[in-house]
Amino acid sequence: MRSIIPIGPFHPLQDEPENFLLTVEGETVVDIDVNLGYIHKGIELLAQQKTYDQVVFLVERICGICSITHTVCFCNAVEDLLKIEIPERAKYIRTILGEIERIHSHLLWMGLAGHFIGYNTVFMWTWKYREPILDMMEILTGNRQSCGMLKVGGVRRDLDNQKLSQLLKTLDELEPKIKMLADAVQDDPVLKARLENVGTLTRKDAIDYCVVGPTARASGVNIDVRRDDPYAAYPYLDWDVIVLNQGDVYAKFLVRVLETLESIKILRQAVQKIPAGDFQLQIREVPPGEGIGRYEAPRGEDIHYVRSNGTNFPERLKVRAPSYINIPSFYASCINQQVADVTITLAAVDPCYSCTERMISAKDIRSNHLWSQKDLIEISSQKTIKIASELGIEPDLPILKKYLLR
Amino acid sequence: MDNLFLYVIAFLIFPGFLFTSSFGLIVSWIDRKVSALIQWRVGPPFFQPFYDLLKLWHKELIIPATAKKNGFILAPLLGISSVTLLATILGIINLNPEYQFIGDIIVILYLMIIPPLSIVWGGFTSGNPFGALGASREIKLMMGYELPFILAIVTVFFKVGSISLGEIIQYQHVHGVMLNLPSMIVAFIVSILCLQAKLAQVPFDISEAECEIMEGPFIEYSGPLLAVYKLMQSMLQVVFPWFLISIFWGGTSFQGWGILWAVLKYIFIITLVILIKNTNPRIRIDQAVKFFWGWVTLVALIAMILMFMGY
Amino acid sequence: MDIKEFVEILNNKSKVQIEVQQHSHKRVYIRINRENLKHIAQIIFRDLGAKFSISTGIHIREGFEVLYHFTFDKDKFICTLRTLAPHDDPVLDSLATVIPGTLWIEREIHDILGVQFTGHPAMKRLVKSEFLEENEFPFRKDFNIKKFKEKHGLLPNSQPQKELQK
Repeated sequence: MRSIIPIGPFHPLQDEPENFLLTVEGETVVDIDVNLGYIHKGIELLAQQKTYDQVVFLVERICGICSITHTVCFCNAVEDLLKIEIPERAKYIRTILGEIERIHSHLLWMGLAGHFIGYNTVFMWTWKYREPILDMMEILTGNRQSCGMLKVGGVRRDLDNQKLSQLLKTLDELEPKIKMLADAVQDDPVLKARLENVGTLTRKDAIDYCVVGPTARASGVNIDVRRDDPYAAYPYLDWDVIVLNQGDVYAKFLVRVLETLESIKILRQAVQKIPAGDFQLQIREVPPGEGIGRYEAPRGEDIHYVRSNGTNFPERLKVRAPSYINIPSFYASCINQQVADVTITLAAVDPCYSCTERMISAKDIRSNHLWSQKDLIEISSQKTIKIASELGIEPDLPILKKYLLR
Repeated sequence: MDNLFLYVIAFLIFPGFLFTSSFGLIVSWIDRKVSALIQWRVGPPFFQPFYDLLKLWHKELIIPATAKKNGFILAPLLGISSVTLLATILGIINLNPEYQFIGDIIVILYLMIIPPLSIVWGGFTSGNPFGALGASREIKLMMGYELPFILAIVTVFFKVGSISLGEIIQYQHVHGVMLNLPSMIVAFIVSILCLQAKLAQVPFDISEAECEIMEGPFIEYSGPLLAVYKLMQSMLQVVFPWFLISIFWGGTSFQGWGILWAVLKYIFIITLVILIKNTNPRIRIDQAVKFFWGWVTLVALIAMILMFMGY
Repeated sequence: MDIKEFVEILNNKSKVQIEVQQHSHKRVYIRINRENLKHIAQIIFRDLGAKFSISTGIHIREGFEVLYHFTFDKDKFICTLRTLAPHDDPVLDSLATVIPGTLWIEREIHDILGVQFTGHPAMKRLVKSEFLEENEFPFRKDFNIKKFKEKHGLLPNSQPQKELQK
């Protein structure tokens, strides 16, 4: 008996609209088909109509989680085109931001993985650990995600050295928790039974499908752009590439946990070694030519190709996010799996989510008063009323407001 | 005539529908609140389960075109009526152990199978691939846990020498509770594990795994019918632990301090269930069946051997 | 091996004419004829152990330029194969049988530029929307976005906005 089970476009598993059609016999998957393009944003075409400075902000909005990834990668590409070296301090700042992003992205994935196998306690705990890291990002750059820090030729704003010592304190608090998580993952027999030998991607398949990042490193492919095509401050720092050989979901889980610990190590060194000095170059014009930028995103190698025709606008920008090359490996890893395992296998490559979550609370700096959601809705609706009265229209506020303001 | 009226009262109000459902909703609040505290969340307010039920009751009832209409509507009603009957029988016998009939425990065991069967029925009649998949998982899981569960209960039968719940409770009044014996502790552990599966809690909530098959059998249910299912599940949270208390832990009395003692016993069992739920991931259906037919059945057999050896 | 050695090895193994343009010590661009594409890709991917990263399709004056980016992770450089499919015959050999990783990107380039890949096992739409017709390719330079939007009623209707400003 064959039947087709659709996963998506709207499914609790997927935060992004993607459609997987699983052909199953009983509980075993015999075929898989992937449809995507539901939220194709046309960013590559849009980039051809923007200046290089604007494209930096555009690529930041490709993904909420990898906002640093795509911007640094684009800057790497343009700097490769220009054949310039950016100042040391800018390199270190890029490293710090990138590693903070890697930690929070990996923690995000671990929580989701826990949720997918019905382990909601892990889900809630890891996301709790993730909060201080996101808050740290806000303290350093002013925003938890999409901080607008980067520009071609360096970074847009400098980091405050005092705030960096705060980062060290947060890391000291975080490290024992991650270590506890790593121990728990290695000790829990039920978790092992659930994840071991599930969704195995062999080394040969990993090479054939050209997968990247933790997905490849869990299958024994020793690649890491931070080491293989050094950018930013990675050549000056001491760290290890985590490679495991099993290729199953458990190995992928473990690679991510251990990489988080490596990231903490990198961050500590970077904060200690960061030099003083200039943090950006002035770029006057971009000559005709082409450049390729690479970046090790939390999910794997990100690659941007830029071609310039000498004007202010790029002639062509090609963006290859890591998930794009990781997702076709489902053809190899999902066949002959149980339906129960396919969900976690699909999630194991960490398909990239274009969403960020944020609690609504804002601080009034003058009076040090914490505004709640109610206050913010009040302010927002007052503004709506004001604008509406200026235009001479009856304000049309949602009924929801009535309940919230009660 | 007077007697019949009392039975109707017992079925509808105490210890039947009204008591079990409201107590079940309170327990589901405890479940949610404790889970939230374990997970560093705040958790819902006390009346949240009641609000949820009320809201579902006011929602539109959608019957999908692919569903078999009669079965689709009857399945949840069958489930909830069987749970109510179960609660009534259990309650009456606990109140007055003299009020028994021969083989009543067999009736109870059969009635306990009907709620999962109603879920299976609803899943298959909904005409949705996820529903059918969830229903088939539920059947496999039932086949898995029923065997060790019956074995654990039969251990008690042999000890007491009777298949009547009233006599089992009276036996415990005279000879002390079953849990004083090592063999019965083992049997109790087995039945707690089966309880976890019967209540469809993690790690055995395989049939409704929301991340894999989106609530499985309940996927097409909406509005009042879904409310009936949810009510049924929270009533099960009362009835099944109550049954275990009656069998293993001397039953419950509703006089004086007995009420407090009964509530404490109940809270102990439900806390165990919540803790297991929050410290385990969901396992696969083949792993679950292997677990029940392998280890759990083995432990149940050991309990039985211990019992025959007099421990 | 560095780029110089790599080019030598490639020359010896493939025995076809290639045009090398070295950008920096870790980027090299090689122009090849489209007939040799599969042959050279096989040498680079199978014999030299490179990783296929992505390919890029660009519409230029002479036709459709398709770039294949291969990364050499051990040797820390990127080799880009540059090949051209002319306007009157936009056909290239599919690499999907050699490199399964090209399955999607060939479908995408077919979607956006209309380059045919002979030998691709499942050539169907990947990202192109349903309301684009078979002969409409958004990344071609002659694709008129304004006309397309007008045709499908996607232009923002300016009437209500003017009323609001009054």
